[in-house]
Amino acid sequence: MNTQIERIQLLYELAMSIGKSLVLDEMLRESLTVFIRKLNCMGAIVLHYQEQDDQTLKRADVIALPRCIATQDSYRPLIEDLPSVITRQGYADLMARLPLACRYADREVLAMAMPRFGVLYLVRAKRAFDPVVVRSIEALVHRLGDACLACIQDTEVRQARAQLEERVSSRTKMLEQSMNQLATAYEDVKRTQKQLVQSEKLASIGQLAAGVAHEINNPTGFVASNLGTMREYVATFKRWYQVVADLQNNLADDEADPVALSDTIKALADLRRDEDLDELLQDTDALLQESLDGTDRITRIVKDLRSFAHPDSDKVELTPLEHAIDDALRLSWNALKYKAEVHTQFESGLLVNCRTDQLTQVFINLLVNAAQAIESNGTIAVTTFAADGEAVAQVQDTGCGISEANLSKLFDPFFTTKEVGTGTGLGLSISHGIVERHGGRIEVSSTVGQGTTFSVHLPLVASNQTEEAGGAYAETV
Amino acid sequence: MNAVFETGTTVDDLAAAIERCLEQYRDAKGLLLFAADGNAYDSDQLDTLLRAQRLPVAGGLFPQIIYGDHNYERGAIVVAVDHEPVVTVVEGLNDESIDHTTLLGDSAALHADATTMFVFVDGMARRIGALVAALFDSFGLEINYLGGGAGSLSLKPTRCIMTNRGLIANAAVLLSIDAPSGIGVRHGWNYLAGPLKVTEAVGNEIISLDWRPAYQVYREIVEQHSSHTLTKDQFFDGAKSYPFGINRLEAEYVVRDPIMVGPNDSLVCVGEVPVDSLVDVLTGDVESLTAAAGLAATEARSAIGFADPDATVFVDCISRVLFLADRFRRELESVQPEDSTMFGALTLGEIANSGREYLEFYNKTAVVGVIGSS
Repeated sequence: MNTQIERIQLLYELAMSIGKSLVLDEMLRESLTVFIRKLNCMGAIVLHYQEQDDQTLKRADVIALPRCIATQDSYRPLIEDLPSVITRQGYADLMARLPLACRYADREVLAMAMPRFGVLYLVRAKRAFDPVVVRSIEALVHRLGDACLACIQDTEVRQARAQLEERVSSRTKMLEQSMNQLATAYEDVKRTQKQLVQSEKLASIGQLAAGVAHEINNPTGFVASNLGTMREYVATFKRWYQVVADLQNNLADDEADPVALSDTIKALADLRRDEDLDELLQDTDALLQESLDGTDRITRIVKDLRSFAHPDSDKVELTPLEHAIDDALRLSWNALKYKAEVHTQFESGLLVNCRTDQLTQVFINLLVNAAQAIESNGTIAVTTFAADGEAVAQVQDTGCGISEANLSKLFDPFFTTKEVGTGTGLGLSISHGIVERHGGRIEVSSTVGQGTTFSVHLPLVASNQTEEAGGAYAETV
Repeated sequence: MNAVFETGTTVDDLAAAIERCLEQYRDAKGLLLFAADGNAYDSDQLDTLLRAQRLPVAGGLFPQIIYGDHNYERGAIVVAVDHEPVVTVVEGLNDESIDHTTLLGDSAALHADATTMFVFVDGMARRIGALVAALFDSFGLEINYLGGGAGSLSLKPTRCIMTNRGLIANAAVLLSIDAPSGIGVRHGWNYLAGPLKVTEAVGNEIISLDWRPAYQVYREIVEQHSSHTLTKDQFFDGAKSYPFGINRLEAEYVVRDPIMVGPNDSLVCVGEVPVDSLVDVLTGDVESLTAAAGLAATEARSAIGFADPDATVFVDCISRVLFLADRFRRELESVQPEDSTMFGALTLGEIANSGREYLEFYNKTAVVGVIGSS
């Protein structure tokens, strides 16, 4: 076959082998294998010069194929002949001298320029390189050098990208850690808040305990008294019953003494008159009704207390707003009744999504605070109404009022104007939190010496009744 | 090196031949074993025999063996190696995950004094190209390599590499010695048509040539230049006369033998064909092939220089026997030395580097190695 065509074939295959990878070692090995194989070489060595500073270049990597050639003593001087550090001018002069064919250590060596990369040595055993071949492959070796540079640049870009990715990944990890810490802290806060709410609730119960006990004691007292009276009544009725029974026996006896019969009837009439049995019978109904009312009151208070004291459940229910207020009024009644007259004005049927026990806690706080702000003979007005899609509950007192300076701190945890030991300083703070968690807010307005109004705004889900109910609260208890 | 030829076909016969050889050549330091696949040895028995050997062993079961100026389908040759040998066994040649360059690099120091290395490889292993590249990278071309592919002409995978570990498959065995040698590599196949660009290939399978299915392109060329009609069923009958050639500077082609038609009209060759390489279609005749074998012998003898020839090892491709048929005798005669014993094998592919050029896995090629006394 025509030698020139063969040569073109070879050049084509050499050209095709260049730049198949962007990893320097991989690309050079693949390409040099083809160079060695096609050009009948024993091996190839590539010396790379890289910038040391503005003026000089330094000899960097040595890539050899086969690998063993780089470590063979016979080739070491070939590498070390070239300076380890060279000026830019010196490097330009070196490149200008290439290609250079020489006989070295019984081998034919061809040194070729890879202008911006370094020097390629091709080593052959038998024959020197044909100058025509050398001229033909010179451009390809230049191209191989350019491909090497492209690999290095790509590696630098990849390293930079990897560093960037590592930094991003490390920052992301830090962020994730912070997020986790935040989440843990948030969980802690939630748990603590829950504990606080419960503690405050228990504190409220403590505060209300005396009043509640009184509220229970009161009906218990009159129920007990009624029962005592009823026992006396029953004794009288038993005596009346005995006389009636005797009379019945006498009437049934044909031989009964008419005089005795007459005496019995007289005794019966005397007993009815002397013991005022007609009145006793009337009074019995009243006593029973009063006692039943009393036990109902006890049952209701105990039920309210139990549901209030129970640890929070997460159950949100659609509830009429006034239910929470009613519960609060019942539980705090004893704390209120000696200080103020309580008036209620409810727009009933304002439905809100809430945890009733929590809202009850809010209103207990507001009511007890209102009572505590009143010296005596005050008024507490509790009203509910709908406004701008919200259910609003207002607790208005005629107490001492709150100074402007204290208004801004009112909802801060542990802020209290009460004497040490009488308040936790958490009541309003917790109430504020509860209302916020219900998607609402608490507003306060106050005038020192005139009184304070707390308004609890909650999202109104529905208003199923429009009729108003109200009056003095004492009447409904 | 001294060889003992054994015509018997049993493992006991081989054992007796080894014993005879060691008896005759008491200074033997290792054994090269060439046995014919046609012996149909009992593999387990052969395993036991090999493991029992005290001296380093390297060898294979080949399609045929060569002793003197004859080729044999049965029998065995036991060669006493009188130089201190270093043997390395390379296993897992089908395993893509094994980096053979690293493995061989680790044993490079052991072979540091080697000047001649015998390489016997399982001819049906899939990664012979990777092994050859690893040999080149680890040991370089300062060594003369000589060897080829063992196995059965049926092309069925079989345990065919003989080592001290027993009879193994998917493996190669390397035996190096510090003895002068000269290698001649020639095939005698010449340009017929081309070049064709290998546009797609995977390993030893050419999928397309010039962007068309490889078989269709190849068939057109063969039928245009000869009276042969190629069919997929009888592919090798026609293709054996028209191998592919990969071009090199100032050297013979590297031959690639297409042996069957693969899926989607691809062509399966013995040995890898790189993508983007250019291949020519080659042809040859009795004269060119036998002359080439003779030239390989001349070059081998010339390359050994002033050293005294001790033995001539002839590794020739079995496909040349199929091509030359009864005229193969002429090839053997052209290689037969006057002054030393000739032995060797007919192989499935040949491994050699001809006078410190690139190490190749050849097809359809005659490789002659002349081993000198130290």
